[in-house]
Amino acid sequence: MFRTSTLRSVLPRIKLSSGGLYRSYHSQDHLGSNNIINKNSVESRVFTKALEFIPEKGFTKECIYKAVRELQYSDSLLSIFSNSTVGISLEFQLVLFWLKYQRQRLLTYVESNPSFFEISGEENRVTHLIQKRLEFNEPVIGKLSGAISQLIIPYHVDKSLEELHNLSDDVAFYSNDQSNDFSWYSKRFGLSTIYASSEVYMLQDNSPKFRSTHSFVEEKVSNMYQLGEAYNSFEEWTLFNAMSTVNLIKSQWHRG
Amino acid sequence: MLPHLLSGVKTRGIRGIKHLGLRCLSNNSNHDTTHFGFKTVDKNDKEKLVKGVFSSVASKYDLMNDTMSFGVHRLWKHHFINRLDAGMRPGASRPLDFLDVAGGTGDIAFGLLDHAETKYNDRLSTMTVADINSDMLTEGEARFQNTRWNDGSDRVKFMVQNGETLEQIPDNSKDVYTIAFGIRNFTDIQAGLDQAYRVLRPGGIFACLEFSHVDNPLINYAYQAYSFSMLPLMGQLIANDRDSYQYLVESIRNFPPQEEFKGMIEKAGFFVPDNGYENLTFGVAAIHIGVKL
Repeated sequence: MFRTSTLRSVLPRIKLSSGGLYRSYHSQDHLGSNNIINKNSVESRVFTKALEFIPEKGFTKECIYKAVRELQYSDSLLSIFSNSTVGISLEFQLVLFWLKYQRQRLLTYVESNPSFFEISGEENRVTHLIQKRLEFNEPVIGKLSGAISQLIIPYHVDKSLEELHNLSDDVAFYSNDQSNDFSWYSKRFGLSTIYASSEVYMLQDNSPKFRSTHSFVEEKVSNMYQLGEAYNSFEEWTLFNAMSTVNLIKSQWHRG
Repeated sequence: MLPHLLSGVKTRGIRGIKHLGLRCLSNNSNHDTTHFGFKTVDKNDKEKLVKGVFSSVASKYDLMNDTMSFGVHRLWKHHFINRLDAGMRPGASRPLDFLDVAGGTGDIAFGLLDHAETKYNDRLSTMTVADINSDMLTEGEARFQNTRWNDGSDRVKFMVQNGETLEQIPDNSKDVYTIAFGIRNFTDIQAGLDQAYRVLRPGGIFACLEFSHVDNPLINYAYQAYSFSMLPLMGQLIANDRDSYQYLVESIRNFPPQEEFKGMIEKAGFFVPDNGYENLTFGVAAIHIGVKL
């Protein structure tokens, strides 16, 4: 179902005149869709500070408490977190912010590394981005299972899946995905599956520099694209045979 | 029992619904007048008029609240306290200083202290209850005598203070400023918000629970019909004081809607997080939050 058509140009269309990455399937007027995190809001200032303490304390509310104190605010500031997102615990807010923050980093990485666009082949770009995103996990790898257990709590699953979809959508978009029918969905679904399984694989990975994880990603991505190619070939073959059959019947019909 | 100052308030009953235009009339004020319900009064008089209302309802305040809101006001206050989730977290360097303005009967103040103690084991944070009306404050102090905070530790203070000036509260001295169903009665709401900003420390939070406006026209119709016809009647039957409750209903109508009030909080200098307010019961009441940075 995946269309792995050759790219029309090596430099993808997403590099637009103003230098930013704007999604053409969103309105060009909504430039804010690239601002995953509003850096000026007090929430993100506190959370950004809290990220520094994750490697030490894990994904716990102590990180947020400590961040508030480091920023010289009083504990009363914590009220805005209980108020802002109804029914979401502080810990899960921290996990969600962490995911968004890494997604923003991925965007910054793509924007500031022109060499990324020189990687030929959508498949290779996808692999590269997923590996890059997994690298961002390295500093907190010991605490990551805590975040994942937060993400799979049934109450949280809708928000977790949304964030996972956003990530795979970003990866597909930066890699210049050209799919336009059902393959649009199946590709993103496939990328989400690959990312989630690679992250779980990474938790158990003891190889130096997470080399096994990297090859795991390569293998999974290439499988997905092979599957897509196989499906496309099959579809083309079926279509060709169906048309030939129709033509054959037609010509026999006319001969009487 | 009715203060003579109130005698100028005309009783409108259900006809009040048809008097929507009066809001514009009273908004059309010069600098020397303000609302007192739907009536436009001299600014210098409103304070006295409001004082009259609350002095006359003080003793039956809770009974009336329960009857009129079917007990829902307790749920709102409970939710308000839980949402704020205030309290000294373990490992904090200093306790928090709460200020509950217009908190005469003390239900928010005691609720906040109770929450901080049960959830965060915070037995050090202090509470100042300020109210312009000494009769309401006396109610609160009487209740305080029987609470567990009356242990000689001097954590809870009561003081008669005008919320628009707060002259006995120093700058940057409080962490949490709460006001529940009080700011509506201020002569100059903006001045009250400015004072809140003044007394809070950086990182301090302003939280306001107040009647607000219902968006849904159908529910609003029912709500207006109930409040304009039933409330003054109940006031008459239970507290023998129709005019005070007439004032209550009219002052609710005159209070700015959610977005406008949010704008006023921002104007005072506060940062308003996310969408800034939370509607309770379709918007009959709303919680507004602001942070001093």
